[in-house]
Amino acid sequence: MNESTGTSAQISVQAINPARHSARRQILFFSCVVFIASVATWLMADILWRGGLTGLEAAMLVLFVPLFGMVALGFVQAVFGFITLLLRRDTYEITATVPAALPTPAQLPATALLIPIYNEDVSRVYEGLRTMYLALAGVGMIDRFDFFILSDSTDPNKWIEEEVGWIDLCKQLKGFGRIFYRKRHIPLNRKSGNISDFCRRWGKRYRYMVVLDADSLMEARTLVRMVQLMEANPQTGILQTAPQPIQAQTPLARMLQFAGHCYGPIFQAGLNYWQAGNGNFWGHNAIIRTAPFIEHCALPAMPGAEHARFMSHDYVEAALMRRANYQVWLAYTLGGSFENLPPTLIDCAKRDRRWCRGNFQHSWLLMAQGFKPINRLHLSLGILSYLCSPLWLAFLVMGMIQFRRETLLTEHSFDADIGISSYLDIGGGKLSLILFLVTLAMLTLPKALATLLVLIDREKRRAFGGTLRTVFSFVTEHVVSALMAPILMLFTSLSVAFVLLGREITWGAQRRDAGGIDWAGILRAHAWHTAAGLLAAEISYRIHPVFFLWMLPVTLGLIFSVPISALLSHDAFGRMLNRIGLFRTPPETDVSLMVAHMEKNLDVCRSQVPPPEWLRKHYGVAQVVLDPYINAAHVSLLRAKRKLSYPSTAYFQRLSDRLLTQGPDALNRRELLALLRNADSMTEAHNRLWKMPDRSLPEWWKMAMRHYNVLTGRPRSPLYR
Amino acid sequence: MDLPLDSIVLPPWEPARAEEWNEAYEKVENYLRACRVGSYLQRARLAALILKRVYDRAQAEGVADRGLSELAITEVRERIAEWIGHYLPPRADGRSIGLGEGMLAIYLCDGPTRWPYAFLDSERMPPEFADALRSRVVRSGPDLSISSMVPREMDLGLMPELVGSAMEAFESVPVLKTLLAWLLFLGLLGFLFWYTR
Repeated sequence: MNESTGTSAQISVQAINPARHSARRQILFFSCVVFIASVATWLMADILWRGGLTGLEAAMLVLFVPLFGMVALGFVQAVFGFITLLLRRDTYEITATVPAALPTPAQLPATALLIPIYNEDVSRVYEGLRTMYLALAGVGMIDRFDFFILSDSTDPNKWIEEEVGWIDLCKQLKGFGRIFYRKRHIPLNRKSGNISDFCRRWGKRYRYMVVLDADSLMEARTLVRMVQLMEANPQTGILQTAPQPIQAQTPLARMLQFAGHCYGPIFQAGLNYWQAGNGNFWGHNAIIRTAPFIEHCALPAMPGAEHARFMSHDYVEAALMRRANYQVWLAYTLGGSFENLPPTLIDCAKRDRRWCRGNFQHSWLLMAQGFKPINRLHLSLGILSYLCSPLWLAFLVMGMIQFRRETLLTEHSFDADIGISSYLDIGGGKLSLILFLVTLAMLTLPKALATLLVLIDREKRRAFGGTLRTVFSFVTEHVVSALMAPILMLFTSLSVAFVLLGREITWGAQRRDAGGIDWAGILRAHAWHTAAGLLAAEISYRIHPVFFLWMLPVTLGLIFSVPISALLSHDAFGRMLNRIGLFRTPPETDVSLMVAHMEKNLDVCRSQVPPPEWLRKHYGVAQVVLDPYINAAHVSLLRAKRKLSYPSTAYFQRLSDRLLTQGPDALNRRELLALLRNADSMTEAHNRLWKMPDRSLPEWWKMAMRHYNVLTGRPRSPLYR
Repeated sequence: MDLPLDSIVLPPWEPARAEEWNEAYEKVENYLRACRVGSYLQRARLAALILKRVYDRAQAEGVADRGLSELAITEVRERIAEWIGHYLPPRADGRSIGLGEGMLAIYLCDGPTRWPYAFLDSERMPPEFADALRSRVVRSGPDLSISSMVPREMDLGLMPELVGSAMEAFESVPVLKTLLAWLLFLGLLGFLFWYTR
């Protein structure tokens, strides 16, 4: 399919132009934020400023501003979103710019669906792709879409599994020429480099590209509508959908899934209210206009590191697109866009650590010339969202010291009627309590409003499992997320500290037991949280028993971080919650055919008997050396190379010798990858292995040949069949 | 057809080399199994024919340098290349198709699974199998359509000067990091001192 030969016709509908009124919206929105934050800061200053402001009190006041500012921003966003959804009217809803009816295929231009992968679960990626492919075929639009699997995998076995899966999938779907596979040998600049590589090779062929994640899933109607929307709004450079979480199993993932479905819409509507065409790109489940992306969105190098690019590329690309005067929209009402969630608290922390590093890199761009102010705000909020954790931690520590000071004073000025409290006749203590309760309300109200929106709509209420279940889910989610908050605060604070010190922080891969819990991993990750919680509880009790009670919301979560984390990652408990309907979400009540289809296929994939442990570790390598077809397929996918120099040939010969005479364990990952990249070596290895007499073969290869060839009926495939 | 299956003649019995022939048979049988020839009968017939050819070849060439197993695998791969060469058109430059490309074509059309008794047997080759072989091409990507995607010049403003130089100094002088760690430790001690009084 080629853009130049495509017979696309522009869809004639009114394009959306937000320039005129969005400034008015932004003024109203941020005025509300500033008003609430200012009043709260005034109250805080009033509480702290009693007979002067000490250095500590001044520092607390300074920290309070961004912390409360973020709370106010979230609150106002939710309220604006609530009003928008309640009135069911948004003049800046990009989805409303095209009719709901599907166009004819001839009206759609060529679009590429990109799935960048990096050592992913191949079954999940390919079954998701199959589901989307069949869905597009089902609505007669498959001719307008090409699929690209863009692999940066560095695990030799994953590489072979991806190749085998791709060929099997193309055979099953008759998808050769429509589903493509590209493996980069050098994964330069990670995901953004992978997308740029596609753009440089094939970008010109496609007017649009839909960027997906390994765990993305999009309905055919959604994909088609996205293209329609781009056609109708020629000034739109990026159209981001709001992915809804699916397939949650563990209690944590189920809880986050519920939050995503129940609370997500009002926050997204609120976000769209103030950002309009100045939106952001979230890196996946979005459609991009390819030509301006190629022209304007190549990532600049990081200052001081010529070859390094920004890890969190999406925000930067959105800013670059806006700099080129193309709009970036959030299609928050589009639906049919799905993703998976991290299953455990530790997985959440790992993801946050990655994002934290990426967002902090954006600090270089805050003063970049040509960026729109809103993009600078997006970048700043991204940084602040992670910086808030150490700021909160510092605020808590300062609060402890301040309370201790107060208890040591012989004359307590805290309850004296000074400032606003003298007019209200309540004293500093009660004023503090009021501010605390207001903060609590501002954190709770957005979720309550979102739940209310569900409860007043009969259809939604049913989809969430009824009134009782929805309310119970809301209350439980609120309590559990409050317990989780201090744990995540410490995780993020540590990540921020490591980022600022330029250090890497790693957590090992999780090893789950039969019950689905990795106790060793949980203890390693949370032992220091427990210790910190116990220490904070002890200190706060020694300061004052009342202060101990004030600190309980923080210390409780930390002290019980190990059981909380274990319980939230327990698969069986998650299934039990599902059975009783807690955290039920609409896709579970009205099962999406696409999701059901993919899950059914994945169940079959996962029910296959895996190879024994010793073979599993090198199954891909065994397969590509042993299997005549897979060897031929792999070699055919390698780029033909010019004749190698003698030292290179000798090097590959040595690697091949070690592989065949000692088994794959004799080579490290880098050596295996080098060998797999060399077509001549792979053909030769296959030839030699089969020709070697049994007495010369090492035990590993003998067993592998026997297992692969004799004991199993047919080679293992990552696909449903 | 290259291998007349109707008249199988096993190699003459050589008691002294029985083990070697046994291993060669096993190798050929396993290789055919790896080629997804699922039928026991077909594998046995093909293996016997291959071994007969190996015997003839060994008689003609001698096997002093190469064992029977090696010769047997060479033979089976050559037979496959020859057989597939009848059905696949030669390359654009006139050279006949290689074994690798042939194997890929067989794999893509699932030949041995769909026509289990036609593998290596031109007499039993159904036209659909031959058509399927010819029609199979694998393309990992469409034709290239190269674009230039290079970053535009970007003035990052004051940030690199303000932060960059400080960070670089911090990174390049380990003493600063150590000093920071000491300050944190002293701060902790100071806090404990103050708290315990």
